[in-house]
Amino acid sequence: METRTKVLIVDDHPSFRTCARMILEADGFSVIGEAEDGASALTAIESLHPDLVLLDIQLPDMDGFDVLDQLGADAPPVVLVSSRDACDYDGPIRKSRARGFIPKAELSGTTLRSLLR
Amino acid sequence: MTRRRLAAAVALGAILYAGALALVLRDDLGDRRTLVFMVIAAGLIFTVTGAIAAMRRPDNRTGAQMLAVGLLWSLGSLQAASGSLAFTIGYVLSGVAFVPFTLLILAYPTGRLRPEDRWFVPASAAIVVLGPLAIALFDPTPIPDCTDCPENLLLITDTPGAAKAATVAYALFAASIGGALMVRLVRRYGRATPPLRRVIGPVYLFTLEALAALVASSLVRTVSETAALWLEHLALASLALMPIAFLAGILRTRLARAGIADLAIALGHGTPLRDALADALGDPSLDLAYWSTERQAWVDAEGRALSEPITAGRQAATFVENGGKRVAALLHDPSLADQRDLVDAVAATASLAIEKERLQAELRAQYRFLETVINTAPSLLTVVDTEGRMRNFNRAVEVASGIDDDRSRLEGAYFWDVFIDDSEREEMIQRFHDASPEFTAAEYENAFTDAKGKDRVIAWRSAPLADERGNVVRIIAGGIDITDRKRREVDLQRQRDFATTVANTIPSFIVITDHDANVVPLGANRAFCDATGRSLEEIGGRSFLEIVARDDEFAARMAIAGAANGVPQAERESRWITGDGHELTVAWTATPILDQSGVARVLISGADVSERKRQEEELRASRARIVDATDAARRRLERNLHDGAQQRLAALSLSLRLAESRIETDVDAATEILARAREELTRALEELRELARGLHPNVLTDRGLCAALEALVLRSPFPVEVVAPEERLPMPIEAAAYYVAAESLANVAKYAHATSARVEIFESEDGHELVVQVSDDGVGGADPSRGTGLRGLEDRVESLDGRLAISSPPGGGTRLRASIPLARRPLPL
Repeated sequence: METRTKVLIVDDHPSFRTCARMILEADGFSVIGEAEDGASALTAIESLHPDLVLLDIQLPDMDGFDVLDQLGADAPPVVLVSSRDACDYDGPIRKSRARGFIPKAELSGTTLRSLLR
Repeated sequence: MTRRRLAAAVALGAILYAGALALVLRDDLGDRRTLVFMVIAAGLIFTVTGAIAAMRRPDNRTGAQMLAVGLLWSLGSLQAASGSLAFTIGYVLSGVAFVPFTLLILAYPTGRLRPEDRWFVPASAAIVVLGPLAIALFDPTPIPDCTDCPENLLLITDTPGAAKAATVAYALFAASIGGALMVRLVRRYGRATPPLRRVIGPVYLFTLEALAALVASSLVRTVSETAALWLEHLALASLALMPIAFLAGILRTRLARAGIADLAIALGHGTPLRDALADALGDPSLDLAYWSTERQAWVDAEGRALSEPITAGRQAATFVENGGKRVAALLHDPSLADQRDLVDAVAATASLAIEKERLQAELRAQYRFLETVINTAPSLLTVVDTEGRMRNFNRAVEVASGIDDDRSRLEGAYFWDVFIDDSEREEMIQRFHDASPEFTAAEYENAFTDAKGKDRVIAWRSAPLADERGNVVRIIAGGIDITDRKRREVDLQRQRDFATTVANTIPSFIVITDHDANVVPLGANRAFCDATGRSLEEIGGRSFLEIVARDDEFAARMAIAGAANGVPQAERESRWITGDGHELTVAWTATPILDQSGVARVLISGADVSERKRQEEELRASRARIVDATDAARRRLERNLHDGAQQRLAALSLSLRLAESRIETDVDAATEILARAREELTRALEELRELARGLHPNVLTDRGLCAALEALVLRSPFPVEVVAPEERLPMPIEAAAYYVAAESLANVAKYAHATSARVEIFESEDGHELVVQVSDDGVGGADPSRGTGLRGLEDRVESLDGRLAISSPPGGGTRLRASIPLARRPLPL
């Protein structure tokens, strides 16, 4: 039996978190947790050990790049999301250790997997 | 002629004439005896008188010339000799005495021959020698009718025709030169001055008579020997008398000395000096000139200057000296130059009188000089008697009195009637009488209206004049017309007052310093003193740099030094420190200037630009805040879009995709997802509308301020009363008023804890401003310096030249009042 990839969704908008969970689970991912800001995201990563973190760039307490900077070397791969365009964050994304970026409207299991390969 | 020569000549004459007499007495001359005796007598008279003249007037050659005539004359007597040789020599040289005679007569009375007369001497010599010589060559008996005369040794051939021709030629030549001589003498007499005529007259008369007789004799001889003989007698008689006339002429000086006693008597009787001198010298044209030591010039008896040189015209001068200095000059006929002794004697006799006249002339000259000075001086000078009447005055007094056409009106007039106005006359008269009898020196100024109606101011100075007993008899008063000076002083003072008023009224600072930047006394205007809080006395003499802030001091010192060197300085800004330590920002210039005494100074003029600087700073800060506020608004909008509608639309996109993937397999689930998606879309639209309203209320543009405010307060969490004009206003003013109200209500909602609020919008009483007033019943205590909301409102209002006022006592609610001009003020140029 195929092991589902465990995903942590970090976003401060509940409606987006709900939609994202439904889409990813439909596409074969296992959403093991949700976080609404940077601090709770770091705690969840530490406790839940997800295989993948879906991280919104704009968070109430800090932005996604700050969260990335605070992650340890053994942290899981991170894919950044935002309702803005990738070109808004082109430079910082390339300099960061994130695996990739997906605009929120285009989120699907397929786009996510393509980044993990 | 020396005495030795004279003695020798006299001795020679004695021998010659002794010989001649011996010859004449020995021979029997028949009827020619008389003539021969007359010839010898004439020659003797010439010799004797010539010797006397040469002895008495050795300086004059006339005596020697007469002596020469006399000596040569004797040679003629050789014709009476019985020997042929002596006879022949005597005949040929019989006329040679006429050569010195011609010289004598032409040179008389000076004894010196004039250049134009010189040719006479050789011409006459040639004629008187060659004539007899030529006759003797052809005539065996050259002396007519002399039957017993000795043989003519010169005879070459007895040719009566040639002899006759020679005789005629001789006569013609002799007559010609004699005629020329006569013409010359007549002309000379005609041109001579009267004194000269008196000297030459007798001599010329005898000469002309003798010459005429001789010439006539020569001409008549060819016709009648008898007539010729008689004419010769006449000529000889004239010639014999001529030496007496010569002697009388040249010895005239001696004779004139007798007149000196008459001169002394005449002067003693008060005859005018010039007339007495003219009589004594026999020169009616005589004049006198006096040397004025004061003026170093020759003057006449009246003290008037004479033109130089004083001997102009036909006059000669003999200077009269006293103690080795020239004191006077006798201007006389040049002929008197020959009578120096006489002139000197006359001058010596009259020297006292001349000196007296000279002193008088000098006094007159000084008087004239003083008179001229006094009358040409611009100062007024008058002599007043002890009653106050003007006894003498100069021209300036006439001019100043206004009575300058009739001197007699001022003579004897009371001083105060002329120079003192009616209103002050009594006082002046009283002062004058009070000063009597000493009339001590005094000075005073008086203003009056002269006789022509002109206002004048005279500065007077008076002093008493006392007689020999010490009594004051006159008061001399000198005055200067200072009318113009007074007027100029008044004008100058008016100009100074004007300049001072201007300097003390203008708001600009004016300071005047020396080249070391020290403020000159009274060298600052009121604006400067007021602004710097220092008095004039305090700042005078102190360095201007003391008030300049330390950081700006060097530049200020350099600017003042540059201006002191004549270079105007460009405007600069410095900080000045006032007496109480405040700092002013002053824009000032330093300019080279000359003060009223012409001393180089530095003019510092400046204006307080502190307020302008503060406003500029405020404007800069306000602009920066507006930019910041705009940036913040953009950020807020982007954030709102991102956080609101954008998030909802992203989620909506995901929901639609999820529904799409479920619609085939699980219709119920898909339907539920679509229902949530529709709710999400509704909220997204609502948020977008809210956002758009926040950007600019559409109702404000379409319906105006009142409608927009009513729409605004509908969403307010507390009741708001709106009072606003229905009519439309210019868009920028409506917008400003709307945002003032909207942001004020937002602030009320955020901070005031109010239960109600009120918005009133109305025009000010003068109709120039729109007033927006927002009040609430909240907690108060709003502080514009702390919150950015109020500061933002302030910027918005000030950008329209408006004002914002806030009253917010703690616990007393807040009242905000914005005044927005309805018409923009024109920008200052």
